[in-house]
Amino acid sequence: MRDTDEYYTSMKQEMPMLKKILNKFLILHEVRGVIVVRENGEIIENIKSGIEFDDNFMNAVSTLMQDSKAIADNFSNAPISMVFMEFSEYFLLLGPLTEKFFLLIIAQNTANIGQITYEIKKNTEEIVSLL
Amino acid sequence: MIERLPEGKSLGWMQAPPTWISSHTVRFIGIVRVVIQDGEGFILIKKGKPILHYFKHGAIELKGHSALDYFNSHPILEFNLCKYTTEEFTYALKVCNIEDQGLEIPKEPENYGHSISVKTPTPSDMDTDLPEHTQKIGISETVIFSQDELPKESSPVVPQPVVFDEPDLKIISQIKNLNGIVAISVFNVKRNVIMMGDADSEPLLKIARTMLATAEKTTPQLKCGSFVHLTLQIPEGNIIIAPYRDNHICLLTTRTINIGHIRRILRDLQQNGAPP
Repeated sequence: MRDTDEYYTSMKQEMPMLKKILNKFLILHEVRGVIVVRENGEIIENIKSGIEFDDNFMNAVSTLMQDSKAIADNFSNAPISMVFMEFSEYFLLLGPLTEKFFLLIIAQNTANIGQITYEIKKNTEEIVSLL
Repeated sequence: MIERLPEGKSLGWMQAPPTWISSHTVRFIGIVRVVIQDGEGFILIKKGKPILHYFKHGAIELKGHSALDYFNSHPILEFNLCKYTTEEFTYALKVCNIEDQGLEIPKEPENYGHSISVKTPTPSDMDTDLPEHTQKIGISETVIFSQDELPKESSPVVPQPVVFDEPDLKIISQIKNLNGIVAISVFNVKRNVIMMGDADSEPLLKIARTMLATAEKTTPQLKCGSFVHLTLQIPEGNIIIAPYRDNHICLLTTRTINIGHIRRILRDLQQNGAPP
């Protein structure tokens, strides 16, 4: 038992700081993936549970981000506060971190959006400080 | 309902903007019979005060604000002013289920086809003349476009063509009346089918189509199931698109409405055909 505790303690210590923060989202009910992503779809850091992100997925995320920014620019010359795309199985929450970096949360439809958006607000500053 | 109303004494058919009616009926007691395409309706007026707006086309009936919005969406109306005697006016109020003072909230008609209530004029709304009334309630724009033709402001006497056999105006009106909804549009890749609210229809349609294109591009790649909605949150509010029957719906909301509320509205609309 002691060995196991030591193992997890050492894992936590070794886990990069950014991943530790992303893990705060992953432990929320029904959250399946958390990614810090560049505008071009490049993954900076991610953590996941029972889901895979292939190239097609990341290309689609990149398209979604770029199109959303363009729409917001055309509509009111305003920045995007959040992009929320829902499907029959999962939803995607995309929040800007800086000009070029976004935080993407993938969760099942039954996840608590209020809790997720609260965590985004609470942790954005710290994530940005690590980019 | 229309056929049960007294005929009244016709003062003649004319074509004029909706605002003309309110500004020229200060001493008028009677009914303004309105014809738009194959539909017909009326405005019951007591000395310049509109008591009831009503319009019917086929199985679709509009009453109160939704009928008023619809009339106001036409630059020119074709109508017949029919003067009532006191007895005829009293009888007309009875037919419309309105109290004798003419200032009570009219009851919903029995056969509206859907079990949804549309906001009807309140006594305070009807206490004033129409121009004041429209300012007071922040009257919204309702535009219904035909397949190939957009309404033209410059067309002086031709009533605008409409398509009524598409999304249910009552449901759309009801969503428009929910707190936090600024504008609502039903659209498809070709055109805006219906637009209600305080927004320009063309720019909103352009944005809605761009969002739809993004959703259609990304949905197959994301492999998260079928598309339910796309919501963009900007400092001014939310822009939302979602499938709605054979078309799509676009909502413009204030920031006061939260994502959970939007999801509930869309879920009820997509599952039951009506907002909560």
